[in-house]
Amino acid sequence: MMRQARPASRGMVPVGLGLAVAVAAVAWPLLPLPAYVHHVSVLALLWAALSTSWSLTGQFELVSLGHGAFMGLGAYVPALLLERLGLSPWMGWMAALAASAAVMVLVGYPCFRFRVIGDYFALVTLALSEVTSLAIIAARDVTGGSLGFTLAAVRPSSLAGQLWFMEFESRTGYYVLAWLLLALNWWVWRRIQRSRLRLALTAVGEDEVAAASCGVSVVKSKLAISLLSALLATSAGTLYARYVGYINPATVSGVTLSLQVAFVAILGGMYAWYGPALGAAITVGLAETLRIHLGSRLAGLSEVAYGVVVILLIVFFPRGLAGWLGPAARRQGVAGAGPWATRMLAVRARRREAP
Amino acid sequence: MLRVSALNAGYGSLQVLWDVHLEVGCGELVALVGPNGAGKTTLLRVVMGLLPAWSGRVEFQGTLLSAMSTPAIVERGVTCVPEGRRLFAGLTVEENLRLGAFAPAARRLVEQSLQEVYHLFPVLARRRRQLAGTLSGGEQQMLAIGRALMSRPRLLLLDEPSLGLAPHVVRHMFAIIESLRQGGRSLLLVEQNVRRALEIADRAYVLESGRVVLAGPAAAIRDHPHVVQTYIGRQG
Amino acid sequence: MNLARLLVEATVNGLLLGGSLALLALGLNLIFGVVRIVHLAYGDVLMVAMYLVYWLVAVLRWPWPLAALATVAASSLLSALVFAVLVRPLLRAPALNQLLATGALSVVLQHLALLVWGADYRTLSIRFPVVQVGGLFLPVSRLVAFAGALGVLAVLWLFLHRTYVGMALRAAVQDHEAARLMGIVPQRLYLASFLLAGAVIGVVALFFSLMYPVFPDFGVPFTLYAFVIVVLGGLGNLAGTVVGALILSEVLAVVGVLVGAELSASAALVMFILVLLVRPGGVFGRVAEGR
Repeated sequence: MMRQARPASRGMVPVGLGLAVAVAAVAWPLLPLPAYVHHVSVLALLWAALSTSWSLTGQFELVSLGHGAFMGLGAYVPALLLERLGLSPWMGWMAALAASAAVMVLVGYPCFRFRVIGDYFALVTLALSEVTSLAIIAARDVTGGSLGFTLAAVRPSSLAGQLWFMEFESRTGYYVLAWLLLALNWWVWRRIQRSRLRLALTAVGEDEVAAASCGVSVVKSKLAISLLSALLATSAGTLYARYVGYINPATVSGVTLSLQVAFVAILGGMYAWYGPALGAAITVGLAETLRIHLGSRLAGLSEVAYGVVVILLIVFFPRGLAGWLGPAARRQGVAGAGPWATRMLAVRARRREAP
Repeated sequence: MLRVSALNAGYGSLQVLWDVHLEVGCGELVALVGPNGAGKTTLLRVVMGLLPAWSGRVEFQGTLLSAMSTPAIVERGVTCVPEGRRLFAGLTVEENLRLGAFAPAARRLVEQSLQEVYHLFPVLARRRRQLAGTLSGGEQQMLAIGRALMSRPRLLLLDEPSLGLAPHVVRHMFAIIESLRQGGRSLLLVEQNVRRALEIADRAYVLESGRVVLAGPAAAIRDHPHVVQTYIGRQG
Repeated sequence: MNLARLLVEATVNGLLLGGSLALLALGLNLIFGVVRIVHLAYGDVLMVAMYLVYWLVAVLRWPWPLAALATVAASSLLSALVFAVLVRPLLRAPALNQLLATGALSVVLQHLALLVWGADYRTLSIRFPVVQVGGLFLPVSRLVAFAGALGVLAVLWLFLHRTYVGMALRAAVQDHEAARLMGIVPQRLYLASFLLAGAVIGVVALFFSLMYPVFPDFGVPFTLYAFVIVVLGGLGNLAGTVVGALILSEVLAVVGVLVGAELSASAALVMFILVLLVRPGGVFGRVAEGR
């Protein structure tokens, strides 16, 4: 008989961890910490959402470096619609979602259809991120180019108005929205873990041809997960722009940002639901600390230090911190189990055929 | 010369070879036959160091191959004509041959080896400047064998040399393989064309589901009821 | 009328730039083809080599031949160092980790340059004359770079076809495992490809120093351009790489004249996406085998 790896057990640990996270989330804004710490924690939440959305595809060996494009659309489209037409960021967000979905399908469908995989898919999406960045710079009459864009401030007084314009007097409003977005990411993550799509995508990641021969629709599965990931990244872009109030091509698009998102997910561990968020907390904390201690002295020093730390972490923790913390967070099948999903699908297909 | 003992190996968690024992003596032509997926190619990959053994030993002239890298094994005098030929299609015939003599010792004799291979396969001499990918199937197989001979091996492993060739080319190929034994060279021949392989071999092993189920002189194997029934059929 | 002349001039300039771009892409083709790693800091090594040219020639006032030799040697060593320190430990790691590590190296090199040389544009401030050929104004610097690039391309061609190491490099691009069966040691070949690519980068840095000022972000677009060319030309395909480089440099030059520099870069990248979608193995190459 063939050995089959069982899906991760859903024991008490994740439930306990989830509960602890919820309690901490509610208590955190009440703590008398410096305003700066609260500011950084909102940034960390946004990065957590962004990298969790990335790991939706990353965990299936579908390495997309297009988050720079989707976050960029999420940031710029609502900002411009508010500035030009006075549209609520919520409507701008919808428009950005539509734009991201269109771009994803436009690039993703031919990629998946013609089997652009591995390094080549990574390069296509990387180029997409760079094109977005260059397009924002080139359209400088509208976007402000590389000098960046300051979002229009409406300053609504009522809570309803604040909600409508996604512009809050207190930081807590953004904090709550960022948590909601992260929770949405986690919910999607969980739904996928329990879905048929997961098995299909794992099999596709192992061997596309074999998966297709087991009845998996490769193009549809990949497109579905990529769309989910892109739309969640777009949402993070919208909220980020609204919270920070100032965006430029380098902070919401481009090559470096896309690599950064993937790195955060890998560092935390992209095979566990809490991994990317853990990675976000650590990297945002690290980047801010380096910036405060080194950045003020010499321009560039903090980035050099950050880059060196990134390299060291990738060399010495290739599976991320979550993978190092618990076995459930490691990718199933890595430790010698072979292409378990493909085999499982093949067994199922055979069972279906059997009388 | 080559001694494989108690070998277990596989991919991932999937064990392919189970406690395999096999020997090739000096100047011997040994056939390794069996159905598709029995682990014949896997065995060759382990011998060549392309796949690590889980346990067991692979020895060649008293030295342990299992701990060596592929290039080191080639330098020891073991070469493989891989399944599917694996030529460098974008390189010329002569470049393919010269690469066969990459190891330092073989490189010193490269011009001499080249003449020998061209003597053995005159068609390759005529097509020396042609890209390997433009050769016919039979010519490609000759080039693959010629390329392996360039390292002047004492043991040559041949993986399915007759695969995908036209019947009259197959006959020619087996004649060539028989002639390769000259000069005390040992051969391990993996073949699906069981009847022909057993005709030219001295001894044979039958590998099924990763286990050696039969071993002995080729003539005896050829007449064994199990082999006759499963591989050769009535006409044999 | 005026636009027509501008376009002709852009076309010729594109052709002249194409020589250096072909060299640059050839180095990356070796690394991508032999080591199978996406080297995202490739253009940044070029940027460092250009600063070195600037430093040796404009600051230390070394004579040109000496500075040229030193640049090629140093950039070759830097490239080998990248292999030994960063790539070698990651050879068996997932492709994504390799990509992120070289991406991080790109960030490190850029900001190191910022630390050492600042954000200013640095030029050799050598004034080259402009010659007039048949009504076209051509900068001598580009003519020199083009002739030099053609010469080095010829040397490279001979190296790849006439030496054992060159043949082994070409063989490994096509079939790694078969190359090992020939007795070729992969690790040495990896080192050779990084050394060779580094030397090529050094040569390109010399030519580019005649044409462009250098600044910390200089290399970023060139990494992507080099990948575009490699994909256009096909892995391990020397002739395809040269043609791919000419196509890209023409697109950059002509679109640049018509609509502006940023959009020309976007156009190049859009072309890249289209090419990958249609022919992942390169326009002039066979479809590459999967990893």
